[in-house]
Amino acid sequence: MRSRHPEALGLLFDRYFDSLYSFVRRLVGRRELAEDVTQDVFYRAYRSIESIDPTRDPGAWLVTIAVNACRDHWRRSDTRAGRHSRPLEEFEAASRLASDGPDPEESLRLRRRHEELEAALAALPESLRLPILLRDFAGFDHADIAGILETTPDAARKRYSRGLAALAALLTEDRP
Amino acid sequence: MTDPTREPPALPEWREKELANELHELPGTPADPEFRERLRRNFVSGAVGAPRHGQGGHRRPTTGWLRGLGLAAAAVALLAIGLSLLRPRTEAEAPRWSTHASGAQASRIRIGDRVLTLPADTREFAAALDAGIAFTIEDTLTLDLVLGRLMSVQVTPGTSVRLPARSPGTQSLAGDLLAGEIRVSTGPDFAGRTLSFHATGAEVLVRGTTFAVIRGADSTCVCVYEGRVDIHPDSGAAAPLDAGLRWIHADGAPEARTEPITPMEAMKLQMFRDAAIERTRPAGPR
Repeated sequence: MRSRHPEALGLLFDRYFDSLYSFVRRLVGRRELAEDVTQDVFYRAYRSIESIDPTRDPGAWLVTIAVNACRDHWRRSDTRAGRHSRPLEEFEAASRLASDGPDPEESLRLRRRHEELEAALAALPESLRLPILLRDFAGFDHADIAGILETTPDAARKRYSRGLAALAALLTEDRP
Repeated sequence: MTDPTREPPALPEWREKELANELHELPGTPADPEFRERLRRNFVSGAVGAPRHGQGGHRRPTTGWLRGLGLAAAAVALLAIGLSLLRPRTEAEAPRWSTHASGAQASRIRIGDRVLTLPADTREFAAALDAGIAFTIEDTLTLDLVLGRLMSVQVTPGTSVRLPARSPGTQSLAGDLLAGEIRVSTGPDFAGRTLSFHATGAEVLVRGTTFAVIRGADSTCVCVYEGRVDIHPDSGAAAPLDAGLRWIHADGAPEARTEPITPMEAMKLQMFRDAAIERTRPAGPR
């Protein structure tokens, strides 16, 4: 890997691209931005591949790069207002993957629930969304999240809990 | 209305776990296959470069002369648009309905006794839309239907609706929501026209806005995201409904009630509106 052997790079890409893109997409919202940031992640990864720790999960390394790339993007851009928007057809495409079950009513219910969750996630401010994405989508523990967010594990845990509480409040409020 | 930046009460641990489990089960968002393949090829070969930020991963680096060419092309396009505005639209030029967001998965559309399957019957479906024929989405697919630069309509699963027929020169467009839920966003060419949707209990009249009409089992709801609509109840006086508000009328109730729209509906309408704007934007270099 460190010698940038094409086969090793291909394996790394195939193993992590999909989950990384989903993570970035949920973080930045719009497809174009997600593509920019994902390209930036693999650009940075290629350039600094010597620094990869062979004893650690490369996925965590890539996610850390992704968070930094997103932060750089936010610092650079003036698109904060548009960050939460996301074309609905993408939700549709994503939730369709999970709705191939035999029961159409259950598929419909699940699909709508997924749309609600995605929309509520997108509505959260980044400060609350990021710990949720790191914990529940990237699979980090609170100590790792603390390292990425440059805070203490206890503070990371609290931010995650606050994020979930805000998410639950948004979901509850939407019910008739 | 909840402000997500305000501190909500903490959840009990069991609820946190329950919510986290639901999040774990959310399916991933697939990337555009072309983007994925191109990035993979560049990454593996060492040709991956830093993105041109803010322009989307699809766009390729543009050289100076290409930019100049792009500007010239834009000028020609603007001139063409300007000239086209000077003469009335003919039948052939009137915008047609097109289907978006159906993806590759088949979807069943019922029109009377017939069932069309998308994407195979897309042309036939579009022709039915142009003719103003009512239809029902029979499965779990959400469809975005676009009438040129006039309007986008999102039709949710299970909805029965008749959309405005394709009609050159008509200033008044009308549709009917028979059951279910639609979102509507007017486009840049809508100016000067009116659009009305009738659902049980009321007619919604708009002159340019983004809104939703929801016909539930025993009530009709209109949610306005931006702009303003005029509600004409079947009984009672017409009243305007401004952005950020929803109007709910339960069948048989003497009066409707008006209240702020929920953050979730606002978010859905915002996402739908953003996608509609993106679709009507002139295509850039790819």
